[in-house]
Amino acid sequence: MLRGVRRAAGLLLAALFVLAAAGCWDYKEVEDMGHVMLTSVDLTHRGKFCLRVQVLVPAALAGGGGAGGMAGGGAARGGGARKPYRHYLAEADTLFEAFRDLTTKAPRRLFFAHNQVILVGERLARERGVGPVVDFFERNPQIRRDTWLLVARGDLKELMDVSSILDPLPGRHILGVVDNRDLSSRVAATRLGDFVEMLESPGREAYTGVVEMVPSETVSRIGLTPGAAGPDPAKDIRITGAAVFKGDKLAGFLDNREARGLLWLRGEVRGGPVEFALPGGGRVAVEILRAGRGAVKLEPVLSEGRLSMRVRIKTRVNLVEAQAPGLELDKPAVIYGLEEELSRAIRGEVEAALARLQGEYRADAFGFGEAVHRRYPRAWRQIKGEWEGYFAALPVEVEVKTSIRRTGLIKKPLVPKGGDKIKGIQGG
Amino acid sequence: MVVRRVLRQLARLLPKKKKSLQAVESGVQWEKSYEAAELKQRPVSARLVENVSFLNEVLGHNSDFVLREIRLGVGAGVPAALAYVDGLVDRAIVSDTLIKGLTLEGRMAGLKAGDAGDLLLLAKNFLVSVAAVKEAADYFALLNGLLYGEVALLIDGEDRALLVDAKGWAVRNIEEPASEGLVRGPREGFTELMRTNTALIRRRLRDPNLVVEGLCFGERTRTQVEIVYIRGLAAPELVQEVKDRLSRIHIDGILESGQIEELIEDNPYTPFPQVFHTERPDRVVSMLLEGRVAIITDGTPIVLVVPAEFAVFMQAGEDYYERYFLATAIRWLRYIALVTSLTLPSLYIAMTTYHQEMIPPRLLTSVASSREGIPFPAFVEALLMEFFFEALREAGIRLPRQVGQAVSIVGALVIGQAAVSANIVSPLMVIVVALTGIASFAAPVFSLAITMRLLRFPMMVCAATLGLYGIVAGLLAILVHAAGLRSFGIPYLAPLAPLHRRDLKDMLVRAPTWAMDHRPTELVKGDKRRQAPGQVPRPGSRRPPGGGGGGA
Repeated sequence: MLRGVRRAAGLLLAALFVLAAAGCWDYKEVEDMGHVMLTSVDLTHRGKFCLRVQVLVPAALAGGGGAGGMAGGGAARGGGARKPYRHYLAEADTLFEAFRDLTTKAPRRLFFAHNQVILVGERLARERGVGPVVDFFERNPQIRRDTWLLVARGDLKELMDVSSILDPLPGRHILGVVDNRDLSSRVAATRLGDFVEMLESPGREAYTGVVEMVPSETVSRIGLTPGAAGPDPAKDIRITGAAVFKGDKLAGFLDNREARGLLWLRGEVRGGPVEFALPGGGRVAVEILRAGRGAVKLEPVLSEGRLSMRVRIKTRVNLVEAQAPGLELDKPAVIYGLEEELSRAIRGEVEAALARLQGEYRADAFGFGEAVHRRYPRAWRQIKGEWEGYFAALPVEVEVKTSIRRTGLIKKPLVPKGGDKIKGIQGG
Repeated sequence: MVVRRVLRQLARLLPKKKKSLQAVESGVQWEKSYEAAELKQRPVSARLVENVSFLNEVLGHNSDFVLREIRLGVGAGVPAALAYVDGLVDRAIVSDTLIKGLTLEGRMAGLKAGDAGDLLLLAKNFLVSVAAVKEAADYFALLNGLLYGEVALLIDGEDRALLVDAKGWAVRNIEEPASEGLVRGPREGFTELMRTNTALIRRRLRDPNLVVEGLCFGERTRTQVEIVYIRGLAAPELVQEVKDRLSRIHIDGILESGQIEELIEDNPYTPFPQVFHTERPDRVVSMLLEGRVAIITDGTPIVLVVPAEFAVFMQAGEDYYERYFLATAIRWLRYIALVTSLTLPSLYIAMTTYHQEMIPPRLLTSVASSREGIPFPAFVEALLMEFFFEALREAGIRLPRQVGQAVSIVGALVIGQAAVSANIVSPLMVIVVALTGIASFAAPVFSLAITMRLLRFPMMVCAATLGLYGIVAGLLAILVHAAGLRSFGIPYLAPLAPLHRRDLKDMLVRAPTWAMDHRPTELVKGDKRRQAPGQVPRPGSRRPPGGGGGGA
């Protein structure tokens, strides 16, 4: 029996030695780490990378900070409560150098696993290209592939300071806005992993969403007390449109309408509004129900040596707003008429994007080249060298089929007393 | 070499082998002690004077020993004596039945001295109107009976003593079991009196095959122990094994069934319980019906049941009385709670010190802000809090109820409030500890909850040194260990490993009563069928039971 006990004690001791010798080597406490919530990279005037990270300040969040000093924060409180974040900046020729330069300033070990947004400055994207940046981030195990990679317009320093009382952390603020993208489907935001794929696949140019700063229309910088500046910058973040790349260099921007057109062709529209005017006056707005990837078909057509594209989009919508009294929504013919108008409006969006990308940027963000490659691999091999030229001249036929599923809780448009009925689309 | 030396040093700290029991001199008795072997050698004398003087010598100085001398029969009568231990016997029986019967009725019957020789038989057959009597030929049997509440009748000229069963001592009533309450089901619990306990079982199981076999343990306590099983259901080898293991026990005292448990379990070096214990007769009966063997110990309401595999400890009696949907859900709740109580603190440690990337970002901000300014690493913090919690729990159990309340208030305030606001521990850690505590209370059987409580600490060490890898390694080690255990020959993880698909009906789910047609595979070799198959109730079906599944 004693032997058994001795053996057990020996085993226990051995286990302890093993644990002590092999364990703990990558031990780090949460509170010893600087959690980066937002990263931005830009180019300095001297052509170096300028890396800016936003580190969480947990202590400021602990005391219900962040929101503090917002509304009633007078002059006495100065900047109000501490900001729940702190920025660190480093400049270097390589990103890694810059990252390690940060560690000489930040008191905590920086940790990037929770960084959900990477901002790339417009200048860097245009002049140097995003290739080296993306390469670094893809290599780094701490950076997740589902991190949003966005192009930032305007002063990054200021932009990274924009937060709101709803989300005191600017990084999370941007993330929250990006998460709403499907409600408008006018922003072509892209995750790092997808971006890399687009960057590397031939016949398809990369694109991503754009973050910019807009003056806030509702929050006034001037507090109630004269001269007191509220801590909340009177600025808002807005994500908008798309930044289209050619290779890894920024080719140009798309506005919201053009970005929607791009998303239609990429099959990324998952909601959002479409509005259109009726020929007889009045306006109607519909909400797109998940169109999804299966709803778009890119069909390259090669006939008699001439390449053209046929694009088919199918979507279903709900009518949500009808500023057209007298519109007889219970008649199928009226609905068919509306569907036709709607198709025209969507076609308009697609054509706007086509015009911009074919005519101006000559960047095939639609992935037409890829479609050609798939359908006509042999032809593709011949033309892929001059695809840019082919793309710019490619005739595209857009065909949109829509169907209106529901018209909301009420059937007829609301008619106020004495209001004139607008002559809508007449049935039959 | 160094390791060997360290180990040797360590071994020195461990307890040395105890001296054998025989060598220990009992210095308690001031005069002379009477060993059982010696007493068995001495027959009861035919002379009353000798017997009386012997009894006085052994028990005479005890204030609760009563020796009443009487005379039997007509004339001067035959000298006789009644001896008993006051408090263990029913005095009404002694005076109304025994003394009256022997003296008054003996005189009326005209008992004479000449009848000596048959006098004891006469008294036994005609005068003592008490249910159970037996004869004792030696002093051991005499004393044994005396000390177990029997009245000894000694008659001059008879070399045997008559032991009359007149047990009557203060007992606790049958009450609701304190440690195993339930909402639906019988409220009766076992008591300290073994006879009551066997009666509680028999009343639920009117089967002539129910066997109650008595044994006696403890050189000094002479505790009555009985094994109960159903002939034909319990495997004969199992019953024999139980008897063999019990017969190997040589100990001076058995005070509680826990001692027997430790002396008969298969693997002494494991934190896992291998013997089930319960206070509920219905639970014991249901386990007897599965072919298990119960061991009832006199003097404790806790009845042991063997074999007991892991699954048994996750079942509560109520599972079979509630509807099976709820019972299954509750059972899964228990499994989750079990894993929680084992791993939650270690998961917290591993996640916050090694795998921060696994924490969802929003949770991370609250984790980070709650950990901000805490002076201890997560492991120390967790250890500290678990220690506090366990100490609090221990204090709560032992203290009298009035003080116990104060303990919980102090504990809740000190740990819950002050420690957090003083930044000694993080609020998150308090939540983790509280959740762990609640989860460990959700275990239906306390003995398994204790196991998890104990294993939690090595798991925390694993998590603190190797992170999630350590937790997985620890869990695997526990699993491998548990898979290697056996309880009276039954693999500990029985329906799972080895896999008996049919028995999973009572492990992963609690199948409806009409679906549990079979007894556990590992236990019953003979009568496997529990009930007629195909008893799913449906309206309008008039089929006789057993007609559904093609017959038993």
